[in-house]
Amino acid sequence: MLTHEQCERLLSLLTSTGASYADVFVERRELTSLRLDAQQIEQAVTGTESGVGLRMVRGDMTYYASTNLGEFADLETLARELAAVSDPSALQPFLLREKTAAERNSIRIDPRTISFGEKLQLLQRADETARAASEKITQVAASYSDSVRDILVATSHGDLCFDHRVLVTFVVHAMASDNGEIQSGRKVVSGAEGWEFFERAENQPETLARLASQVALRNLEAGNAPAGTFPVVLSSSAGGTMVHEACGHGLEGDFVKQGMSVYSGKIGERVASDLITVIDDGTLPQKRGTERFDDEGVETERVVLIERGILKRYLHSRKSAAETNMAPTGNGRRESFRFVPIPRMRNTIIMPGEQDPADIIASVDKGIFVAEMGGGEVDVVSGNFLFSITEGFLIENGRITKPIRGASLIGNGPEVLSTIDMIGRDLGYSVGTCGKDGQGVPVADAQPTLRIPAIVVGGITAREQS
Amino acid sequence: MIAHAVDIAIEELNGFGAAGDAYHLASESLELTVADGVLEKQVAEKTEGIGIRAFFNGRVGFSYTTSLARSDLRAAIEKALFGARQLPPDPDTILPRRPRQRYATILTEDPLYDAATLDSKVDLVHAIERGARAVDPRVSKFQQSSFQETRTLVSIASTNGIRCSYRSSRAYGSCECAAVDGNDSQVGWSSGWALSAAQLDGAAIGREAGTRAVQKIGADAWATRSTNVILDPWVTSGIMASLAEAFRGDQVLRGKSLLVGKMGQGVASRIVTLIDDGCKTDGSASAIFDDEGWPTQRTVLVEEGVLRSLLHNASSAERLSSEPTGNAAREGFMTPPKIGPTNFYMIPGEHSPEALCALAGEGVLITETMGLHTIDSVTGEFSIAASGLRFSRGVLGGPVNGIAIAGNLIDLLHRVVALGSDLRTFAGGGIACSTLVEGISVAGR
Repeated sequence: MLTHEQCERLLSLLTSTGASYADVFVERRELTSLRLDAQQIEQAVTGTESGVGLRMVRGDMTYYASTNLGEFADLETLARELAAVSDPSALQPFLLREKTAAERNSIRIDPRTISFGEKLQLLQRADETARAASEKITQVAASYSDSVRDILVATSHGDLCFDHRVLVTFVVHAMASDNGEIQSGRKVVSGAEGWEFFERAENQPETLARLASQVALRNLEAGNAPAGTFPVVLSSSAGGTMVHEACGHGLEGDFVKQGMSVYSGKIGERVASDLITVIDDGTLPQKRGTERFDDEGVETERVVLIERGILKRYLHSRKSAAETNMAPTGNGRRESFRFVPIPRMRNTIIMPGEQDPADIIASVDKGIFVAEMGGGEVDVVSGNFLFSITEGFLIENGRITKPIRGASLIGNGPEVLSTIDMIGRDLGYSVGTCGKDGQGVPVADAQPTLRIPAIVVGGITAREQS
Repeated sequence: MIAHAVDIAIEELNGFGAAGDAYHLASESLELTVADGVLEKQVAEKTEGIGIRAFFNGRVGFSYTTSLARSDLRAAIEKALFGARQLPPDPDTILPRRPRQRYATILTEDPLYDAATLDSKVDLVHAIERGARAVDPRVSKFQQSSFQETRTLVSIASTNGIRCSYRSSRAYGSCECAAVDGNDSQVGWSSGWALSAAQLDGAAIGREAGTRAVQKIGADAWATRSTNVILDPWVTSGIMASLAEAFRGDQVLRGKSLLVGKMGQGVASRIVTLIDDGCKTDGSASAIFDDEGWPTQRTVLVEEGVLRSLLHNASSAERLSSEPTGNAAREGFMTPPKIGPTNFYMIPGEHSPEALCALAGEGVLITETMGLHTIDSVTGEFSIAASGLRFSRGVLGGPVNGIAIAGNLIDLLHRVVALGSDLRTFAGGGIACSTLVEGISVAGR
């Protein structure tokens, strides 16, 4: 980490040639990652990386430079070059004050204090439980990782912000085989928590291993999903990939500003049915997208994006906010010191309604029940999106019947949000790493059980099934 | 001085009585971004670091450091050894021996990389956006056009006597824009690569992005059915990248591949021959050695539909009594080597895109997909979103979007009936031609 005075020195260089904004981002990341695959340790990595990103904004132009190379003198040179400072001896001093914000995540047990051996045991417990589930479970992979990041952001507004970010992640992947056919099931949990995360039953390796093997075994029995347009019930257990793709990305300020998003210029307009309220909340304790400050020193908040179907706000970084005369929302995020921050989601949620989830299932004659969603993608221009179904079933005459496998749902964001006609009183979370412009950041998503009356199911036609 | 870091690491490993290897990466990159005619971002990055594997008492540990001082290298080795001691023995991971064959001589950098001025690069990125604008007045929204160049020095040394290094340079351009016609907005995206800025055709990248946006305007509904599908080179390349995973020797050893037990058997249509060639001239992923320092080579994976070889690093080759194929791959200096493809491609056919359409008769030409990352490379099942152009009686017609194509990768390979002559090399090792596949489920509304 740099000292208070070193940050001031860098900012006095960066602000000396007409900058409208400048910041210094310092990061130190300690990472441990262990992976067990086919009962062998496939990867055991531990290491530390530190680096600095310097940014100077002048007019429309952002100048940015990053390095993971060490000496302070090199950073001074980098700052001089970035701001094109001709006489570094004639600079105004720059004063920084520490800015504080409430700590959102409490970390009880620092995962760095836990030995490799104990972490390895989590993997072995998952492996044993999954293999014990059935003889058909032929392969198990499990991975554990913890990341501890210390962040410093010093801005030309005079703020000096510190954040200490801890994430733990555990993944179990079980593979089942029968008569030459292979299927798999995967469960992942992650939180902005310490080692105590694994004390809770729902995060323990046995729980995840059992669930992952159940999915793998069920997928062996599963038939192909039908192809075509059907009513779909997304369970709260399915997680929130749909909201993330169907509207989250389209509400990011950089897409909106360029007029690229299907939601551009629609503040105050109806963009969803009045059952739909969507928030992005960076303050929820221990969630994967929760931090005190964003990566440009703006305090995180609870942003109401859509309220009863009416578009209220977008997600902004400092840059996208300034360009559209809005306030930043604490959503300026970067993967690491190597990147310029851009508007990103944190914990994105469709708020629960009032219906009993069982009534929503019972309302469908012939359709698809999605128990879990996998990855997704969106084209923000047309609003078309896709997400994969990792656990799905047919609904026949109001009842969940046969398992189906390997399908995705393809819809249009504004169209799907406008047609959702039933919404449950429950709420379920999922976790992920969201990719945009080559940067991955940790996020969580959540939604209640809900019904989409018609959406394209990417299944197999009757002709190809036969 | 920099290139010596791996030698110091080996001295230190020897000092601990450990075997191991050191992978040193130093890179410098520059990125310029234009949005709507305005140059808005200039990003410079310098990265350097070293990853060290340490083998001790049958165990393997790994660590990395970004400081190359002898004391920090020693600390990283201590950390790797400390980790190794806490792990169970790992008899399956081995250090490659010193290869007998010579390293290929291929061009991986432009010697004139430095000659391009900053102004010429700024002109280039503006030219990308202008290229898109010139296609059609409806190309009117610009998310960003960008230019990126990177220069890298990789050095590897091992206690088995491997000592090698090479330089590479790359320049990339990309464009993301939208065509707007009334209420219909459609995105267009394209990218290109070369060894340096001077060799990159910016206008062509923009032109392709603009063309791809405009051709999507005015899509209409698609009735769900199974039909003939032509995958254009972009789409073929994306699907091939998922398929490449199945050829990883380590995954086959674990039983986690579509290709388990298929050696010598038919896994594709007779017209399919798949190659991985790490020393291909003009390949975007060409290098003189892989990420363990083993020489790259041309490997025939599938010959006229029959599975002939897998992709190996030293460890998977040893376990399958085979030779390494030069496919050890790392994601930078912070992870140990695994296995990955290099330039992975299908030998192209002789049909022009028009001839493929004529041959197919009825169906859809897929030019864009979403959800490639959701493909399960173990089961081979895929269900992805697509858009493209319908064709009827062998003639291209209007656009379709919001459709889904689904099936199994192996089944798809068996259903390939003709290949295009339009071979194209993409950044990152993808090389692909248009591919005609019969009888694919295409869902719509």
